[in-house]
Amino acid sequence: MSRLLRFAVHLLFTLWAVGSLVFLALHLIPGDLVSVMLGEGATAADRAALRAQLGLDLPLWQQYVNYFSGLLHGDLGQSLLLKRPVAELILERFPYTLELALLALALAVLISLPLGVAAAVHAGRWIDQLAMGVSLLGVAVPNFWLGPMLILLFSLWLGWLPVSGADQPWAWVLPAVTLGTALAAILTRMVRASLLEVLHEDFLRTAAAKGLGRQRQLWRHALPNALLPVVTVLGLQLGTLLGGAVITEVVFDWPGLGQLLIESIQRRDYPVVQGVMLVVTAAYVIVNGLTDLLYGWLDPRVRLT
Amino acid sequence: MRLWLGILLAWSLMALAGVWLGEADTGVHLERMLAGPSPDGWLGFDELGRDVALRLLAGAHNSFQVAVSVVALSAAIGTAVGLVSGYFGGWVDRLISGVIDIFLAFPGLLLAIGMAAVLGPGLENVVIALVTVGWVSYARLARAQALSLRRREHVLAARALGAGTGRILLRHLLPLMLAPLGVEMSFGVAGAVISEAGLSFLGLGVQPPEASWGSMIREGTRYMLVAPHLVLAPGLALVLVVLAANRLGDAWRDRLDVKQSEVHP
Repeated sequence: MSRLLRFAVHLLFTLWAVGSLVFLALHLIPGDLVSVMLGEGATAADRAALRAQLGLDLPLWQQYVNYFSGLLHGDLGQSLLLKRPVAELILERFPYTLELALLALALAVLISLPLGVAAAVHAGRWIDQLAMGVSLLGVAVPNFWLGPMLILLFSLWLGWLPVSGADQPWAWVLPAVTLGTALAAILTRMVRASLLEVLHEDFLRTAAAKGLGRQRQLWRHALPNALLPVVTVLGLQLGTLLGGAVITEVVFDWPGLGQLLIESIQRRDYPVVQGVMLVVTAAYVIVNGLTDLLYGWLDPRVRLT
Repeated sequence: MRLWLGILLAWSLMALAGVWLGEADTGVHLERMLAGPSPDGWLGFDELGRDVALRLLAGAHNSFQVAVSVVALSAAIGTAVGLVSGYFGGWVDRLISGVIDIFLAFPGLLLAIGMAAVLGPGLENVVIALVTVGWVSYARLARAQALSLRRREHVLAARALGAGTGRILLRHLLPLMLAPLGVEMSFGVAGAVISEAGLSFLGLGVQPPEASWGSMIREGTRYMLVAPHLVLAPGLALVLVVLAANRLGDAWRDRLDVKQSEVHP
């Protein structure tokens, strides 16, 4: 119970800190936000009007209080250009990003688990070298290059899959592969390294001495222990996944939060930028917190320390 | 190993060549628009008839500049913060660790995108945005190292002999953590190169007509079917540099990590 309570307090604190940092970044950074939003030709009256509309004419502490009381009511402000609540825009786009991230995650796990296990079991042999070579490349190839290359090959040359968008039947395949590749590469290396370490532990030697079969040693004894550290890494890697989703969505014209973020940056629609930053970061913080909890539940040793 | 070092050397030489490029890479020649590789231009020409090879040099110049500045600044700031945090402990450590945790709460690239959005485009702002994200990993590393090193005999001896705090931090702790910091820095180079290209790809980094490998890829995607060389050239350059920096980091780390090398010879 105290663990859950500590988790909740830590979560709230982090969310508050993240919210404050986003607020401060948008208000204290040099340069007048309103002039930037309106461009060169704006009159002093225009600027004053927008400032009043955004509540920027109030003292800073007042803005801060308004901002947080808005957040507590689920009010993320109003889009300047689309004239719609930011929360509504985000809710509209969120399912697409969630779908993309989950597909990429599933793909990464499905690839990395068998590949990592095979590499560890046959360490030093050709399958290990192949897996490690592929994963090295997977980390080094940026998704904003991988995406266009996949489009060139599978959409433009072979014509098998749609170039972009999310409406057509198999449209998710290329974006998911693009986003999932780097994660798959990192996880493969993690699974391999972790399993190799566990395979040399005493309890496995005991299991072998007791006459346990190779397969049972591997799947029942070694793998569950080896996957524990991988779970933690998975939580942290979700941040990379969310950042990568922004680029992937832009490459494939995928109508998710990342695309909304970049569009809003180009349109200088700062309330939307702020809202997306907050929501995505909050999602990341919560998922990471849950991963920590899950880790504690999976591994009693963590709970005791 | 030599191969990877060679690639990094080639990258830095390309960056150096980029200094003398002047306006050569931005000249518009519509008569050779989208022309493929030929003896006149080994890597072909882009949609404005600019030489892709020269654009690649200019891009190398920018990515090198960003990578070196980001890694140097992040490492300096992060190491200083981490050293102080780990060595002093107590409330200083709790405060700094709290700040580090808050920065870690953001998905890395997202924070850089947000910073770049607020600061506006441009090379310097890319550096600031990436340092904002990058210093944290060095701080964590230096803190962990300082925590484990501060009770070592030679540190206690130095303190007993009356050495000042600054001297202990710089002469007795820092030299012992240079190797792991160096490993982190070589991964940092790879990360900075990818991030700069990524931000430029999103239109938040280097602005046209200046070249970045990221913006070259972005512009090239529009002509991919007729002129795939526009996307291939900068992409391959990017992959090679990132691969080289990562391999160098891996090799260095394996050399330091005796335990790992025992497990799999």
